[in-house]
Amino acid sequence: MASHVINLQQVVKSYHDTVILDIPGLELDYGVYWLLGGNGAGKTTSMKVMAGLIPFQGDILLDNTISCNKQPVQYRRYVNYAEAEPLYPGFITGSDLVALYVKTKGKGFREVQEMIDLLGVGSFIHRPVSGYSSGMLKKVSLLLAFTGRPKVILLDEPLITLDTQSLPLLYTLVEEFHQQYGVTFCITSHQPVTAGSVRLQVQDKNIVKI
Amino acid sequence: MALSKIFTTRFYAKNTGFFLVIFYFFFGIVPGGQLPSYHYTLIKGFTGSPSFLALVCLLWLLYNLKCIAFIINVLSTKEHSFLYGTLGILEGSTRWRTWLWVHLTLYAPVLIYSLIAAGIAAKLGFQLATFVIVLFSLLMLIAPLWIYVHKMKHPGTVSILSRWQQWFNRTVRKPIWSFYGHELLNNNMRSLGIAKIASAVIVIVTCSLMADKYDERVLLVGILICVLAQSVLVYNHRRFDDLYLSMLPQLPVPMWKRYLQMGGLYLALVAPESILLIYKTWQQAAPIHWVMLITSGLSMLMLFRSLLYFPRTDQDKYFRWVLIIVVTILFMGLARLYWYGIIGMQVLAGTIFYNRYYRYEAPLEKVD
Repeated sequence: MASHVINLQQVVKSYHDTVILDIPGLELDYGVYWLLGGNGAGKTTSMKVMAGLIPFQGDILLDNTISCNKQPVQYRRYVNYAEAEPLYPGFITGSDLVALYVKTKGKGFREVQEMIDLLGVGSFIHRPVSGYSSGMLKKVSLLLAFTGRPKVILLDEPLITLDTQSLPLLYTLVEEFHQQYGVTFCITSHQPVTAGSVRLQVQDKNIVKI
Repeated sequence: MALSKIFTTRFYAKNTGFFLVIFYFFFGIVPGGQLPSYHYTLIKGFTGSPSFLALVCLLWLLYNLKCIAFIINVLSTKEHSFLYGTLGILEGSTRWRTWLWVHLTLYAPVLIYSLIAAGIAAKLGFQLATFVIVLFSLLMLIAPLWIYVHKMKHPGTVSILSRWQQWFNRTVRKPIWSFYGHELLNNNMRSLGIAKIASAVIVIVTCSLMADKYDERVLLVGILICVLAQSVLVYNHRRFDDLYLSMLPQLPVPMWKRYLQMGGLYLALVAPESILLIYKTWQQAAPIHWVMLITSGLSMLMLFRSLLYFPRTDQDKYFRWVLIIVVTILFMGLARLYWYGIIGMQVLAGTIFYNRYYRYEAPLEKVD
């Protein structure tokens, strides 16, 4: 069997009795994926399922060996996720979050201080997030997604609320982590993130390659 | 006159509700004719007991801190920055007299009551209590003046509290288990305060009821009521996690660690009443009984939280289960089967937590 980076097997996600996702099988190899779909199609739910954030039926395998359900800790070490609209308790500081992620996810591909400087969050990282704008919050959430040594990074709408100066920076980071560190990306966005990305679409509760 | 408007009038206007409550407890709960004897007995009580006097002094200190914080916060606002150019240029005794007058007008309610208490203590022959109250009052009057003078020498719109918070945020990283504790202290102080005051009263009343006939089962009943008073905090804990910490399941943390972190949080939550309980039963209780009582309360809170990982556990279902557990542990306690109760609760809580943690999903309406 070919080694897929991420392999969704018989994944079904329902809310109460309504089926939102029904994915008989989806294999994603090393690459950058761009997940498309209209509003309410289930993009965010797909991302949360792949991140192991919400329960679902079926299983997801990482590198064909690490099961999301059977090895939850290992799986979560290698799959990072950044929410579209992150929400944290107001009293928490960006540095609290970074410390928490670095402690649990481990040493990263790049030094965390380097990433802080690169994303330009150093000036406010010690302040409580209650004083952050949505763009500042987004930057911190992206910074957290790049901590540790993940095999897969899931970015849900990474471009919204981000200022125009930060967009090229994000593209560069995605490119660098993909090329240099072998990270597979799955990104939901209304505009293409990198030129060579593979398109996926949520269609009739399933995710298909287009 | 201007200073009275800026500080004194605004202080009392801002704290009208607070003073109304205090006024009610001091003058409203007993008939007018019995007021002098009520206060005489109260003062006799706290001046005759060193531990009671320490508690009263602590309350006075808290009130004084409230006064100091108010003055510092006023000085930190932009609209009062002109005070640095006026009050700030005062020198010598005028400067100290001015600040003493400002502080005195705010601290006056406590000062008057404490001086009356000192007078009664002297009349009753409690020399040490008289000395302590007079010394304490002098300290409460004089010490804040240095803070005000220091503040005037360092103008700026950042309050001491803000500076302290900035320093705290730069140097201390909040551990994951403490997040809900911070939430309670920052945004839910009222619920926490009510639960803690209720628990403190329950512990004191339980120990008083027991008097000389020590029985750990009576203490267990007290602990059960304390836990009941805090069950709402556990319910709110789930809401907090659902709303703000939805990313936690995504972190690669082993289940045993998550379970211990929950235990750590609840241990910190029950720490005040546990310390009070140990203090009140210092000479009677065996250490193993303290361990049993604290572990019982802790295990119960952990079980309550674990129950909330079941889907569609609403407030009604939750409190029904809380009552069932409390009654069960009560009967087991009366039969002196405490340890079986603790082990049973831990096994149940651990099993539910282990099986439900990753399968739990916040109700949609909460996430929305």
